[in-house]
Amino acid sequence: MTKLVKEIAVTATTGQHENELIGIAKIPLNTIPAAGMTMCSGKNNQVAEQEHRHMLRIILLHELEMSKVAPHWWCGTFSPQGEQLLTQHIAQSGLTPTEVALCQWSVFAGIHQNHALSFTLFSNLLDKLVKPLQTGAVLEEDVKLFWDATKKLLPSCFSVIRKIRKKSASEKTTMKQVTEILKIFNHINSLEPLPSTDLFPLVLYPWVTYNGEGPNCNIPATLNDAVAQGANDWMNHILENNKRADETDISKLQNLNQIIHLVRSDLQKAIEFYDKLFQDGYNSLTNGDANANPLIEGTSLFELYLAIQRFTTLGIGLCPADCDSFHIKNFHLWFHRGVAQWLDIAVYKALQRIEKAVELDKLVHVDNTVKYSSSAVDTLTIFYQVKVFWQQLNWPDVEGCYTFIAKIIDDICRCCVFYADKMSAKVDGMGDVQDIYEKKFEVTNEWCLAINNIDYVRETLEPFTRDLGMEEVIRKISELKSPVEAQRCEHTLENVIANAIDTVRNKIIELLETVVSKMAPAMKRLLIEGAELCNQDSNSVDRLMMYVDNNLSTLHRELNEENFNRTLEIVWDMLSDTLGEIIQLNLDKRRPPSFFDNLRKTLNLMLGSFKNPADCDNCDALRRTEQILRINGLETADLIHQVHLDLTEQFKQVKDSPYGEISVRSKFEGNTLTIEVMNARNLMAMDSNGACDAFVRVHLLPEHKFSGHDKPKTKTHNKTQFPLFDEKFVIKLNPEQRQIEDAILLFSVKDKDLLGYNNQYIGEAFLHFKDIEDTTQPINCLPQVHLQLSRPTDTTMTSDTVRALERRLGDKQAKEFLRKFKQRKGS
Amino acid sequence: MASPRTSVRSRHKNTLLKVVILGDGGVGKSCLMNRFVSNQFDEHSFHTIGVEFLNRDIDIDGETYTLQIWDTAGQERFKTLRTPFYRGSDICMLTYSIDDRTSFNNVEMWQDEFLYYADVKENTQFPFIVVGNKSDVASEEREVSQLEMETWCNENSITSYIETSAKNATNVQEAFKLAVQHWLRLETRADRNAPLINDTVNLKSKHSKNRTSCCIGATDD
Repeated sequence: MTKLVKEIAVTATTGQHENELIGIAKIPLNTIPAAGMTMCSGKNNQVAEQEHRHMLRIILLHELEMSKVAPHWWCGTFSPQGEQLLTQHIAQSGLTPTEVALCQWSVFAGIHQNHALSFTLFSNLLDKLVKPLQTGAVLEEDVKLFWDATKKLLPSCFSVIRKIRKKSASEKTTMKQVTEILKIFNHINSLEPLPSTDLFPLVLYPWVTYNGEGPNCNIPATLNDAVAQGANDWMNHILENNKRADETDISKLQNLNQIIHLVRSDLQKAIEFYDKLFQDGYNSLTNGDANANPLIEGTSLFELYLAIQRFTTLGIGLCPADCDSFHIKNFHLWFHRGVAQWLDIAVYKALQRIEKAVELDKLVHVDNTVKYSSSAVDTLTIFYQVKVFWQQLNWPDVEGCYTFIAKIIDDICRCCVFYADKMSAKVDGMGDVQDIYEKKFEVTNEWCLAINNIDYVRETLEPFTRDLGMEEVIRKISELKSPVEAQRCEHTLENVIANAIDTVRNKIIELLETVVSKMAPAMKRLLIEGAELCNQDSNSVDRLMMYVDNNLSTLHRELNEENFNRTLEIVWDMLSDTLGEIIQLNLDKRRPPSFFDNLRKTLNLMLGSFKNPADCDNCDALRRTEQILRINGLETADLIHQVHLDLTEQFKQVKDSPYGEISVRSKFEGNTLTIEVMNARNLMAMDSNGACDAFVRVHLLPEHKFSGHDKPKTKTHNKTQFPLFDEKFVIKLNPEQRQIEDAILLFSVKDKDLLGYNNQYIGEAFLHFKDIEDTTQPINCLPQVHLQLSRPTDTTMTSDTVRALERRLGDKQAKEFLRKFKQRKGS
Repeated sequence: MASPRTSVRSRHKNTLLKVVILGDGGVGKSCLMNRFVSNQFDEHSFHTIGVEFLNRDIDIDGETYTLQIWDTAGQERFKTLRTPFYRGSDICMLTYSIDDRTSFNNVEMWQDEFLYYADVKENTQFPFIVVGNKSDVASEEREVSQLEMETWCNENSITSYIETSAKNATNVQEAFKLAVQHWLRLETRADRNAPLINDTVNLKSKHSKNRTSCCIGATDD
């Protein structure tokens, strides 16, 4: 066998005719026995390969000669006899498939130089070879052979690429051929060439622009050069084939015209063809595998979009006049559905990055001049990336732009909210301090930083959105549609921004409320302690003040004024609520008035220290709390007097009373009070006869401070609604009584019962001491004072003061007063 | 257009609700919104481009809710522009015009489109409200009867529906109020079960597991 094959080799190298070879080849077909395999088992592999290459070469040459196959056409199919011969040899020599493929690569590449074979053949062979070559499963010798062969193959590949312009793009085979060549390039590019290999020697590739050190193995760059060279060649070809007939200007002009026409029609063809190619490719992409990773797919799609965008820009730059006819000009329409997805991806990535940024934030000032920490800066960078994405997108359709901007703003707002949430989650739990006495919350710098961070991000929202190119888009809508519609769009965008800012502000308030609510328990405890230990030596008020002062000063130092003021307001709200709770709880426990009085003192102390009285937007709640504390802090007698004082104010408003009116004169002279009850008019009829039997009693209030004085009473005037009393009473007060603040006179007008036991109440009127003149003039020179008669009403019964009295269940004084008071109210 | 911002919150945080108005072109979505927000009506309004946005506070049972209303363009060509806004909605208003049968027939399509793009958790009740606009038209021009609408809503388990007229301001406030009340009912029920609101974008599936919300404030107070 060896001998036979050697003969074949000899004949081949000595250039003898193939007729003999066929003859020789036929013999082994008949004689080689099945046992041949064992015979050859010991054969040297190198030799076997060499034999195989020789054999392959001879058989292939013969094949080509016989079949007269066209260049670039033969793709690996031997005649049955040749095939059999080769199979046999492979089997006998024990060659592995890789070795066979290597042999084929080497032989085919060699033959390819003279008689071009199909590129598919090579690309298929590479499919088999790449793996073993990459994994180093091939002997060094063979690797060298592989690269040598590759060097033989490549020139023809590049020559096809260079001449691509001469072929019609619509020819099916051209596309196939180019595809296969590109596959080959791709494969070879994935391999590491031997250090000594110079894939593109200048001799063979004079057009390569490579100017690096050492051997040139850069396939992509060479491919670029080849395409450029191809375009050059093609241009030269056109120029040469259209030589000017003579040197006249006219012929020059005609010549130029012709050339331009040729170039144009070529581009036109290309556009038509490649447009279709793009569309097919794109459709297959968008309709493709739904289970693919959307993040990667989306990103690739966006890259494709950018590539086409550049391509189109180039096209428009090259032939501005024709750009309207390009299909590709409206390439963005293919991506319409993609944009929403991209925006989602952008948000998704942004959210991920924000989370990371918060995680990495050490919560320290970025530097001394600013009051925010790293995550705020990072978040802005992340927003900036979204902006860059938007700018790259450079969406051509104005209506789309407008809507997408709205979407982006909304998304950014969402990111802000997300950031705020992550930020507050991060600082939550910080600042809880525990010592042996108590557990409390201290406002820490971290909390303030978190708030500042969010605020910082919020502040940049508006400038950020302006940078998205809103104004330009609005202007374009105005041109495209109408100014009115543009205005509406502008309104929408502004609303979306305002809303976003507002939403984030909402978030900040939420955080501030969290801070304050964490302070609440400590404050509540100190407040109660302070009130409980009323008269004992207690420093709880001081501690409360310290606590509030410490925390507020941290907040004041770190937060900006707006947020600090907000915090203050929330603190006061919280204080009102807390006090309200304490009050309710302790009223139920029937605490003594002093408890509430102490609370009130503490509250006033705090208000005095921390609250600017002018800044009183939300004082109502506080004032009301203070009022309730004051009332409940009063001793019962004082509380009763408070009821009367309230009534005095209330009755001043009364006009046209149904109960009637009385006229009095009164004056002070030193400590002597003179009262003249003159008359009453239109008294309400109390008796069945339509008149009444009225008398007036004068009370000095507060009762307990005027004990020892009579309650002067007029005579009863029977059966009249217009009694003329004309009675004068002189009351000598002691100096202290004269000086009592808020002392009042109560005139109660009653209807005398026949038996004198069950006098009916007609009405009452109040006169404040301060409204009584201190004069030496005789009383009949003073003007009459007309007082409308009135009665306590349902509103009076539900007032805080009456309620407070009602709550003092075990208090006899209160109980007695209320019983009488209800009679005064009547039914 | 009047400035729709009726009040700027300074201290107190409100509950924010994102409302999306859907329906065929020309049924009066923008008119409904403008009537609700600024109490104005424009007989010759334009087609909406993509989306419009307004917000307004509404008081229900002593609580203030800020409605962030996204009005969408009904025309088919705006589909890709409006669908990104569905995600994170709290309330969806499906509108038709009572003098246009096609618009009524399309309500189901709108509901489907919304559910597809909004990432509503499957098998959850979503506060849809069906609004039949233009109740002011003469009775001979009416093509969809109230009964028909109610029947459709019952079949599709939509419990909130109303006929309105943006033109003569009938039931417009009520429609939005009804929507918020519906949301409240569902929300309290959801709170009792599992208050799982997660702010993630699930890119993998159109029907992500968690309903996303851009107004977190709306759900956690």
